[in-house]
Amino acid sequence: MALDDLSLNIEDGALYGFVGPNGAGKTTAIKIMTGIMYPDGGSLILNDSEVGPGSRALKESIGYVPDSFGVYSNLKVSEYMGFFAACAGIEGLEARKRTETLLKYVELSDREDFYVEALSRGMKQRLSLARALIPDPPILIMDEPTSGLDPRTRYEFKQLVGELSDNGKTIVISSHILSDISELCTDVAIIDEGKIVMSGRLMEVMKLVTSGNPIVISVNGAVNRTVQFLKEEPLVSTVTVKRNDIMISFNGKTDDEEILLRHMIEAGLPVRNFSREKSSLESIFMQLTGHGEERIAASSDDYEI
Amino acid sequence: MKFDPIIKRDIKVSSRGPGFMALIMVINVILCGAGLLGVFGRLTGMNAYGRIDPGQLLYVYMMVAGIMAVFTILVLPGRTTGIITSERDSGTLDLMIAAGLSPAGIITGKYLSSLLFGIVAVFSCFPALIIPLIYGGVGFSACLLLLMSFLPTAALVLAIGVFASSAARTSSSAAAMAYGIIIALVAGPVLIAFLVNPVIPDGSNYMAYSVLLCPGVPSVSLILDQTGNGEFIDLFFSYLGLVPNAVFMSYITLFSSVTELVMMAAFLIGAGVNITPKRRYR
Repeated sequence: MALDDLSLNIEDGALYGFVGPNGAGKTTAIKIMTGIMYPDGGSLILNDSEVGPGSRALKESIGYVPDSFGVYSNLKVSEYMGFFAACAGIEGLEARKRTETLLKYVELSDREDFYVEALSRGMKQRLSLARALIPDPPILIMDEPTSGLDPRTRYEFKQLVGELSDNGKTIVISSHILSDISELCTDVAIIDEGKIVMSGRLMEVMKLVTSGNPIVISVNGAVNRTVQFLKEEPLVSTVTVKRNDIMISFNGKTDDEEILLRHMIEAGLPVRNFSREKSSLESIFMQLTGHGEERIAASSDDYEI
Repeated sequence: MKFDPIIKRDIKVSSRGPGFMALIMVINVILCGAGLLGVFGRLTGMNAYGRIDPGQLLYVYMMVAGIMAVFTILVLPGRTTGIITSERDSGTLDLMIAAGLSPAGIITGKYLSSLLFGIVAVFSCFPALIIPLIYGGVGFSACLLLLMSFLPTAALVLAIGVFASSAARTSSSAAAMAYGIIIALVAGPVLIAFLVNPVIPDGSNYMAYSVLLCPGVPSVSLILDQTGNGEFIDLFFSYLGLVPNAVFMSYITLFSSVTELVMMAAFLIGAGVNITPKRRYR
């Protein structure tokens, strides 16, 4: 089973990041949302009313940018746009106007007589975005849109996505590039083995996970004495030393953290820094998708006491 | 009037590549070559008698039409065995469905653009077909009728290719599937009739009707009829131990054409079902 009781609630105007490891079910979920694939059960609710999978209402509301570009050989850029405009029922002068506007928007106006297969990867991705915008859908769903793009093209593409979001589009982005998601998105859902393991406002998710992060303590020398002190503290479960930094798993609340710090100072330990490790989307992803151990094991300087 | 976007695009793309024209040229070169060589050979033989016998040239007409039937059955499916698999590989099938086209619309558009190619390919053979008729034998309208009899067969084999393309994952496995179906349709009914006849001789005449499933029966039966060799059909059935009724024998071209068109529709419906979102990812 690719998806298991998966439920997503995407607010109007959100820039929604959809992340998960390979095989987690992201593409399956996206294909169901776009009507390319039908679910075994469940429902799709759009603007408070249920829409059938693959229904006209759903297709008219969603623009889809797949992970593969979906291009035809021997077809020019303007013809490619014209074809998909005709598929969406837009033809003649209106189709030409729409094509011109969108190609200008994605900065491909000067390439309209080029064959699609001759375009660079970044241009193809921009063309794919222009194609998805032909029927002017309120929702855009993008599967790995920045994957394989060079840094400049990725930056430009993110700018375009940001502009679309500012213009009121609801955007769902599935990506492996977590820095892009944390940079762009307002909301995030993390999927693993077909289930949502965490979702919500990006900042809230970060805050929630940060409270469970280890405390990093830096001391000026006296590492062994500090470790010995910490091992005797009842709320400290593990102590890990990384050069001059000591990381502890602490089971107490914020007040308990203050008490611990005070005890350390009273014991004459030379504490230079005492703080919760900051979470990044990457660290959240690693924790929630069960790959946290891999990251710790990857650093040979670390040892646990 | 709105023109189907898939037909429009496929015609544009086909016209840009050399494949379409090259294939028609090769087919016509072979047919014209066979026709000219046949006519030359027969005329050389007639030289000895000092008079021209158009009846002799009808055998050349039969040969050219026979080669055409073989080309129709063997070459045309190759035009459609890749049409859905290539869309699937490039991700454009998903895009068309997401853009609002229905599976039936996609299959119809892809099929009709291939059928247009098939019609052009069949009618392009007209000059080759009339080469053996320079001294008469079969009329102009009969010649056109023969070309038209190829159309149901072309429609059927193209539909088989579309069906295989929708069911298979790769173009090569689609080609294998399409030719497998065609071989089964050509050989199956004959083989079944041959095997069933000794077991149930009384009911075996019904097996004669299964011959209608063979692609190419309309044109083959019409060629034999036009050239005065209709008895070959009787001989074929008697070889299988079958005696079909007179009405069936009189209208075998019509019956087989209708059967081919019904089968074409069935294969296209099957192809449409194969690409519906419910079925594609199972």
